[in-house]
Amino acid sequence: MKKAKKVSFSKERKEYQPGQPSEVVTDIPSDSSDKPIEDLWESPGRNITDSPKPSIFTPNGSFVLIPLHLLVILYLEFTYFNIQSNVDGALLKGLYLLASCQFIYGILVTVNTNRSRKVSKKNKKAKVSSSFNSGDLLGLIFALVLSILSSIPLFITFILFGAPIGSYTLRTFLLALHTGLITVLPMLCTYRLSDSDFKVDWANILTFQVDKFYKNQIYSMAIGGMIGCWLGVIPIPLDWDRPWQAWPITLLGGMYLGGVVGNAVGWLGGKLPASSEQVSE
Amino acid sequence: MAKNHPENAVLLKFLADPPTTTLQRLKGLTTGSLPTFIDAGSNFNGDIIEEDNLISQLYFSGRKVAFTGDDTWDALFGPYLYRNLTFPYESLNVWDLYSVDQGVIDHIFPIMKDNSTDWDVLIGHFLGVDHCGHRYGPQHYAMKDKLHQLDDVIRKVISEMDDETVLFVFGDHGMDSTGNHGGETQDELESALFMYSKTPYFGRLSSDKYDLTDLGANYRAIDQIDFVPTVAMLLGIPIPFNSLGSPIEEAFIGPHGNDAETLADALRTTTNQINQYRHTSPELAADTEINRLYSRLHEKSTEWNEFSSLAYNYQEKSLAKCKEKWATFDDTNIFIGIGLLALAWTLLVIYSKLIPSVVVAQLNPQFFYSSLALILVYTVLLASFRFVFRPASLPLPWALLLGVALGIANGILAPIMDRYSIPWLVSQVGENLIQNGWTYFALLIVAMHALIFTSNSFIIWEDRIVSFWLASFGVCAFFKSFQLTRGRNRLLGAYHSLVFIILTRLVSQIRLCREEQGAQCISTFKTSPYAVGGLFVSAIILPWIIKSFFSASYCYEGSAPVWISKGFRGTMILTAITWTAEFLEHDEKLADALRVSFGTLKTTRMTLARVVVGVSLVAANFGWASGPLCVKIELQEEPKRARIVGYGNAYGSSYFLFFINILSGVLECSKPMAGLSLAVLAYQLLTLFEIVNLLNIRTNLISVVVVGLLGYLHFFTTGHQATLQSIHWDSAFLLTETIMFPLTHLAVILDTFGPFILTSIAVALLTLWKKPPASKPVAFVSKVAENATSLLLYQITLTISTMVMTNHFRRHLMVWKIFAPRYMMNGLVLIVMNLVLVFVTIGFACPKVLKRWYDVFGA
Repeated sequence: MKKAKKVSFSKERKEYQPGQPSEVVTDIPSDSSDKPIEDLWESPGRNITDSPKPSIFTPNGSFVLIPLHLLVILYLEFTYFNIQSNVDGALLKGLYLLASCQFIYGILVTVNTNRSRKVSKKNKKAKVSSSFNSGDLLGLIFALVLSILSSIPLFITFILFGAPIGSYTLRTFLLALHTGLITVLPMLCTYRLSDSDFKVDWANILTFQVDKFYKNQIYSMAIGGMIGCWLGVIPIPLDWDRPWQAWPITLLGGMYLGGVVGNAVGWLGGKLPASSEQVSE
Repeated sequence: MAKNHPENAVLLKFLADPPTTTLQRLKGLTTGSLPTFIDAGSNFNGDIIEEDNLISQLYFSGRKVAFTGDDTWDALFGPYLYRNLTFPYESLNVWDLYSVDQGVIDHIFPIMKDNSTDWDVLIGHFLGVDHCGHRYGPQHYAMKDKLHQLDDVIRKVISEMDDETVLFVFGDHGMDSTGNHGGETQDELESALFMYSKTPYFGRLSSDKYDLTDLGANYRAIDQIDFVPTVAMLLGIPIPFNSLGSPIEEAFIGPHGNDAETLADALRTTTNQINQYRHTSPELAADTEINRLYSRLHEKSTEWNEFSSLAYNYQEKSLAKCKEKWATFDDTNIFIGIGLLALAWTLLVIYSKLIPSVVVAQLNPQFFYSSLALILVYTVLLASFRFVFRPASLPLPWALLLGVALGIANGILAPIMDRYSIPWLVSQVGENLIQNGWTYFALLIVAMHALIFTSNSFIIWEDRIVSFWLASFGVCAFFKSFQLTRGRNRLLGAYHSLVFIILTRLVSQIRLCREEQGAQCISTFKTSPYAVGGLFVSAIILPWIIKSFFSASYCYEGSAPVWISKGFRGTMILTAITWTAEFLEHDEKLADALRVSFGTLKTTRMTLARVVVGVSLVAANFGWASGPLCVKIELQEEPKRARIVGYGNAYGSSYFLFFINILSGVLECSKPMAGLSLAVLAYQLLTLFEIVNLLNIRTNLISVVVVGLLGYLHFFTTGHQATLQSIHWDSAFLLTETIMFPLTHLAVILDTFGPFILTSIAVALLTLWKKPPASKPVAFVSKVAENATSLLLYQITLTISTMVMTNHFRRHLMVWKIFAPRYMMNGLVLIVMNLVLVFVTIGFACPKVLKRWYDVFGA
């Protein structure tokens, strides 16, 4: 049905579109315009989406925001919760711990965001508090709920990437919950529902159109977590017969480590002097 | 019988050496030596065995060997068989369960009864069980009938044989759970040996060796090659020179199990023969450990039992060493091969990526003449090199071919180097090859794909890995689409990417697991009623999907409706009917219930299959070559103009009709599940073309890499794996009843390499799809050629990587099981891609489309 709809859609627009014409009106004898050959082809370096990236608010970096607690939780997963022998149980217990830690981390992020906003919006004289008030608490709780809900699309993504269907469903879902808490929650604390430009910001975030991502500590943490998760699949097929190769331990580890590394990169990137910024432009 | 009359009969586990293909087993069972791997391919045209073997020994000692059964014997041992009593039967038709066996039964008893003085050894080779396994699998009731039949035959033989004859009953290999064989799983290697004589003769070892618990997992097993010295000594003929086996103890220790002297005697003969053989090979002879064992034997030659155990120890060790050292490697040629491929890779990169295509067009005649000249130079050079130095590993034909290869390479390089310097070429790498983030992503995938050959685990799981990469591409394309400026394109891109991901995930659910994947993988590639039903459904849906893609670009005009909705749907329905008939043929109960006879089904199936293949590959292509265009011309009165509907996708739509021709041919030769997978392939390719068009990555490496990956994905989802035993040999009999040169081979090639053929053809559409005609079609050809060479480069990269890694791991435990088959597959895929890209895509289809438009509209 969707397909048919599209067809009728394109029929409405009958103008000539360079690059992808759907219909062309030609004279008899057909036009013999001598376009240079190169015109037909995009020059190799050109990118049709090269429009300047929309700038979205970048919170200040801070060493406090490096999520070292993730390393601790990951360590506990392997030692105290013993993920290698009881995957489901350890994932669940780790999830409680992670949720509480991320809640506290969320407070840190919120405070930091408030502070950065205050600095950046000073000129506009916007009224932004730098501390943590009850509205922020509500926002944080809301962010927690949303990031838990985000596990559903994440779960579907895992399935689409090849997670087993029919077996290990619980594990995959727990992994999605972990991923949601690590990647989505801090982002929701930075780009909040209550913000006026929430929609635009998130549209840009979800389509990965973030300027200078390596300076954005929270955003690069989310990206790092995703990349870590992607790379985490590599050891699974190896025939080492280690208990930690079980699904989805390597993805979990990759995501935790990737999150920390991404965050650290963002923190270091934020410290880059402005001059090198111009060089990299 | 073995239990009740232990001195008359023995039953032992019989272990084959891989590969478990019939020809190799026959060689092993008669020469007693280890098979070389590459022989597996010659399973289908065996030549006369040149090595020393049992049959020739029998012949030279004046014995007569009567034979009936599988004609492979006739091919291998023809001159040594007793012609008056030789009755070979055609053996490779795996769908025939009865004729060979009936022939054996018809001849074996008369020979036993009437001509009992005429022969010394009588061989009867039954094929029914093997064929039954191939065709129905071990769980089918036809197998039960077959086994009962054989049981009756053996009982009858036992009752009719005289007192001075020994009966050996054995299987040359086992079968895996699907009924196929060729590999080296326990199921395939294990079969049984039953020895029987009416005169009490056989002894027994201690009873714990015949442990029946745990389904006989620890039951005494002997190697197949042990059969050779045993039979040779029982018949009193010399042991074949190459034999590495040991005598089977039960046959020599006498009915009471205490005749140590006879056994020791037999062992001494065998040991001496093995030692003699070892000393003909410098590598084996230099093994001091084995030599020490041999000399120790001579010191302790007094105590029989001790001698026997020492002798067995020696033979075991020597066999193990031989197995380890068996494969020999020709380093010179390996390195020449890797070097040549690397040279070809460099050439292609320079030719297609670094020099401007305009220059290439100018240089082409130069390339031709300089190549011609340099071929002469190099062949003369190498031939003289060959005659002067006489290197052992470079026979004359190879030297000449190498000369030709080097000549072409140098001939192309010379004009290039004349114009450009190496630094300039290097500087072009950054400029021409790398376009944007997509290119890096593509290079990452190519690098990872080349690196998976460094580990056997990654090769085993390649099917999942490939689908993971495709999903990654889909997700990137999904998010990238949202960055498009036009809202409509944004939605379209996201929608097509999503469809692409979902299709990839769905189709990767079809899998035929390889044995190493173990419990982590459940095969879903089975011919089930659902799969056959699915074929009918896809026959309805796929043309409809293609139609909607055509309509979206206004080119469902002209010949498109006939081609897609009538022709393609028609062949797809016929294909579905063919496979329904095939399915009924397999399921005799259902066929009986429907009162369709076996013969009717077979005739219908074969006729339809031939019709479909003939129509789609021959007739349709002739029709296509004469020029269908998917456009409509609307004439307008006022003002006087003509509108060409479908102009925007004129090339792409016409070329896709050609793709459909080949697709329906491949579909016919693919099993039902594979047919579904290929239908998805067509859909995926269409979505990919749309994505590529929207994201403007036509000439980007990523689109070519994705097309290549789709080829691999569908190779796996059409029920193949990079193993020898997963080749669908039964598809050889889709078009013909017996092996007939072009048709049989065509069916197997279309079945095995279908996805690669299709993607190699489709790669041109990356350029042509949704591009309006240009005044200078040459630009299109060069762009298509560029993408085609990119695809070739991708495959060459993989091939070089497997060559290097297989060579590196050549003493690895898994080399013959995993690395070597994957390497062979890569080589074959490269050849297939090369041929299709050069002769079909660039040589035939693409110029045809461009030329036709030019002929009709002038521009």
